[in-house]
Amino acid sequence: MYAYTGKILHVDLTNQTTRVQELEPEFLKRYLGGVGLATRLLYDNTPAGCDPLGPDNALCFACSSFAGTTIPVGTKHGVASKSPLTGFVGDSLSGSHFSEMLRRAGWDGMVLKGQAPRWLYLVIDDDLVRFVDAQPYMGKGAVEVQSILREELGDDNYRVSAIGPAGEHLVRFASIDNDGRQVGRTGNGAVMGSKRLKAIAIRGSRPVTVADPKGLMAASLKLIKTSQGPGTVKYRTLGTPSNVLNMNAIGVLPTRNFSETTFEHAETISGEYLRDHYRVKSVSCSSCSIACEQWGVVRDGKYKGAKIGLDYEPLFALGSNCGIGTLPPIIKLVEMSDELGMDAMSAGVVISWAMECYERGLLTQEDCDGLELAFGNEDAAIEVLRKIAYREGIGDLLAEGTMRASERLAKGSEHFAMHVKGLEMPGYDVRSLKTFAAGLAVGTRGACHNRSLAYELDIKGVFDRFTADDGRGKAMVDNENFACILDCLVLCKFLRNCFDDFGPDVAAIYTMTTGIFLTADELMAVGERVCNLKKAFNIREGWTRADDTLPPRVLEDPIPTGPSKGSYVTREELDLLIANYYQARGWTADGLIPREKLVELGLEDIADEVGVDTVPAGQAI
Amino acid sequence: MKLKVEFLGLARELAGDAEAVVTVDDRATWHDLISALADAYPSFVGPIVLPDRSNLTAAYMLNVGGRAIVRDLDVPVQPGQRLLLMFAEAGG
Amino acid sequence: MTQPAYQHVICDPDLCTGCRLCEYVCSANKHGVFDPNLARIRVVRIEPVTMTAISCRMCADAPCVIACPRDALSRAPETGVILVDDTKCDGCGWCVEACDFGAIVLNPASKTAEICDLCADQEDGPQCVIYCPKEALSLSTPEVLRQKARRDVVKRLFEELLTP
Ligand code: SF4
Repeated sequence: MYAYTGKILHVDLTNQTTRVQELEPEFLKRYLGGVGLATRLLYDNTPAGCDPLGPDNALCFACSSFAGTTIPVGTKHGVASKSPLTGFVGDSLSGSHFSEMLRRAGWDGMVLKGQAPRWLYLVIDDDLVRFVDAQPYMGKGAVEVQSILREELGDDNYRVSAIGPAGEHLVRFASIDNDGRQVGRTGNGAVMGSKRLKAIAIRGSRPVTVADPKGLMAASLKLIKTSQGPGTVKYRTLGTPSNVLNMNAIGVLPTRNFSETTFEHAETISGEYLRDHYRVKSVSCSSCSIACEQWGVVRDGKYKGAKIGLDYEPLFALGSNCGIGTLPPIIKLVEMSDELGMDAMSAGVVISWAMECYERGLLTQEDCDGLELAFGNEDAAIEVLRKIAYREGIGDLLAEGTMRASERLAKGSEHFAMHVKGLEMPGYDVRSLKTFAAGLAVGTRGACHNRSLAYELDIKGVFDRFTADDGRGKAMVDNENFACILDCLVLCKFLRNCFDDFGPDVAAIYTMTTGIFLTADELMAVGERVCNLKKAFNIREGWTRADDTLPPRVLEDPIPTGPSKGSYVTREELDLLIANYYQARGWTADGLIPREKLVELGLEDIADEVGVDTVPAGQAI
Repeated sequence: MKLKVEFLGLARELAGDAEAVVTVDDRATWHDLISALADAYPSFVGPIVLPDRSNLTAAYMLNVGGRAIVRDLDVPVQPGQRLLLMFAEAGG
Repeated sequence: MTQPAYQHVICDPDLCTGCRLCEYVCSANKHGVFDPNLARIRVVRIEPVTMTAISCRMCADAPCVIACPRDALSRAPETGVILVDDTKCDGCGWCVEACDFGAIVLNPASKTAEICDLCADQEDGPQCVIYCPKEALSLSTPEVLRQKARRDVVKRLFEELLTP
C-alpha cells in the first residue's frame, strides 16, 4: 500500500492518551479518504444520541488519498462529527496544507474524543503526540494563532488547525481554520471547542511515496494543463464571486434574508467590481493549479487594511442577504468571521434573520443591545458578528444558529428562518430552482449546495427550474453521488470539468497513487455508499421523513420581483420531487434504507442497526 | 436588427464593457449572434466562443430574460429580449 | 571580466499562487517521492498573500563554494550550477548557512548537500518550470532581469504621462 499509511490516530483528550488503529487496504478502498473516511470513523466512534458538544462526540479528520502529491487540488481533508447545528452528520471539507502534513506525519486520519480538563493544544510530530497547555493562546484569532504557534514551536513546517473565540464559546456554527481556509460548515469548531482543544499543530517528516511516480507525474501534468482551460476559467479569473451578477441576473441572488432575489447594489458587490477595485492576488491551496481564492484588500476609508480571500458564499451571506451593498464592510465582515472562527455563511444568514425580525418589530432595539439592526446597517452587522463570537447579549441567541434562535423567539419568525435541518441556506434562492430545492431538503447535512450539486441541473437548464416533475430523481442522485466521490477522494469540485472520462481516469490515478487496484465502477460505487452511510448515521440519530423539508418562506412566499417573479415551491412539488429522489435512491417511501440496499452497498455491518425490512413492491404482506 | 447583450464575468473583462449592441440580420439565428460577437470581440474566441465559432465554450452560456438558456442555435433570435452572456458554471 | 550570464530559476511573485507544486515536482523528479524537505526549490508564504518560490540563484561569487571546508562544491563552467561532490561532502551544513536564500537542501538520508542543477538529467530542462501552473517560474539571467525591470518602469512612466 502506497500513499496511505493505514493508520488512524485516536486521541482521548479526557485522559490525554493516544492509540493507533490500523486500517486494511480493502477498508480504505471503500471510503477512499476525506469525507468518506471521516464519516465512517464518525459512525464507528460516536454512540447514538450523544450530545454533539459532549465528550462522546468524535471529531474525525481524514486526509485526501492524494494528499502531498502533485495531483492538482488533491490535498484537502475531510472532518466529521455529529453537528451541534443539526444533530445529524456534520461533514465538512477544507483545503490548504493541513492534509499533506497529517499524511506526512504518518496518519490517514485522526479521531478526537473526550474533553480535556483544561484548554490544550496538540503537537503532533510524526508519531509523537504532545498535549500542551493552551491557556496563553485563549482568545486569539483562529488565523493569527497559527502563526503564533509556528513561531513558538520554532518551525515554519508546522501546519496548524485552530479555532477562534467562536469555537471557544461554543458558537454552534464555529469553524476550524487552517492556513486561512476553513472546515466551515456544520459547527465542527464548536465540537473542537467543547473538547477544550484550541489547536492542532502537525509536522510530518516522511515523504509521500506512491505506487507509480512516473505515471502519476504524467497524469498530474496533464491535469495541471487542462485545468488552465475553459473548464476552470470562471474560478481562475473571477473566482466564485462572479456568481453575484450571475445569480442576480437570473433572479436567485438571496437578498435581505431571502425575501428578494435581485439586489439593487449587486454591481458594487460583484466579483467584477472586486477585481477592478480591491483584488490583489489569487491564492491557491496546496498543490492546486486553479487558485480560485481572490484576495481583496481595502486600501482606504473606514475599513482600511481589511483583507480577505473572498468567496461567493460569504459574500452573499454578509452582503446582499444583509442588505449591505458595498465591498469594504463585507471584506471586513468576512475577515472577522475567519478570525473569530465561524462559518461566514451561517453567520450571515442568522444575522439577516435577526435583521428581518428587527424590521418587523419582533426584536426591538433594546433586545439588540441598543443596535439598530436594520438591513444594510453595516456597523450593526459588524458589532453583532463580534457579539455572536463571544455570546454577548443578542449574540448569545444568534450563536445558537437560525433554527434554535427562531424557535426560541417564535412570534412567527420561524417562517423566515432560512435553514434546512438547522444548517443555514447557501447563496441560491431555491424558490425558482426547484430541483435544487429538493436537493437541499433531502441533504444529510442540511442546506448544502456542495453536497447536492443539483443547482447545476437547474441553472444550466437540464431541467426547467420553474417547474417540478417526477423525472428528476435519478439526476439528483447522480449529482449527489458524484459530489460525494469528489469529497471522498478528495478532489476539489472546481476540477470536475477537467477529465476526459472521469471514472476510468480517476480510478487509474487512484491506483497509481495508492497501489490499490480500483475500477471505475468501484470508484463510482463509493459515492452511493457514503451518501447512504451519512443517511444511516442520521437514521440512527432519529431522522424522520419530516426532517426533509424547506423553510416555510420557500414553500409559501412567491418571489416578489425580478426575472423569477412569482415562483415558489409548493408542498406538492416538493413531495413529488422528494418521493422521486427516494425512489431513485432505492429507499422506502418514508426515506428509510432497506436492509438489502445496505448489504448491496457493502454496508452489511450496519444493516441490522439502521436498515428496514421491506417487502418487494407488488407483493402482498 | 440591433441586439443588446450584457456581459458578465470574463466576457466583461475581455470586452472592456458591461454590454454591447450588435447588429445582425433580421432573420439571424443565435448562431449568427455568436459569430457577430466573435467578430466584434476577437478575444472572445478561445475562452468564450469555440475557435470554429460553431458555439460557445462549455464555460459560457447565453441566457434570455434571466429565465431561459439558449440551447438550439438554429432558432431565430427574437428582438426585444434581455440577453446575457454569462458563465455557465454556478459553483460557489 | 564580464559577469558570467548564468541562468537560474526565477519566480514572479505576482503570478505565484503558493500551490507548492514546484516543491513536489522537484522531490519527485530527484528522489521519486513527494517530500518538500527534499525539494531544491521552496515556496515561502508570508500569510496571507505574499509568496514566492526560491531556488539556487547561481551567485556570481558563490558563498557556498567558499564556505565549504572540504572543497566539495564547485561550479560547472558551462551552466553555472553548483556541483556537489558526494565523496567529499559530509553534510556539515556550512554551505546551508552561507546561502542567503536558504536554497541548499541537506538530505537527511544521504547526509549530503543538494542544490538545484536545473534538472541536468532532463531533456526539457527544469521540471518546476514545466509544471508550474501559473507560469510563475522561468529561467533567466540577472542581465535579462535588469532589462525587463527597465522596460517595465519606463512603460509605467509613460502610462502615467499618457493618462490624464
Ligand atoms: S508551482 Fe508556480 S505557482 Fe505554484 S508555488 Fe511553485 S512557483 Fe508558485
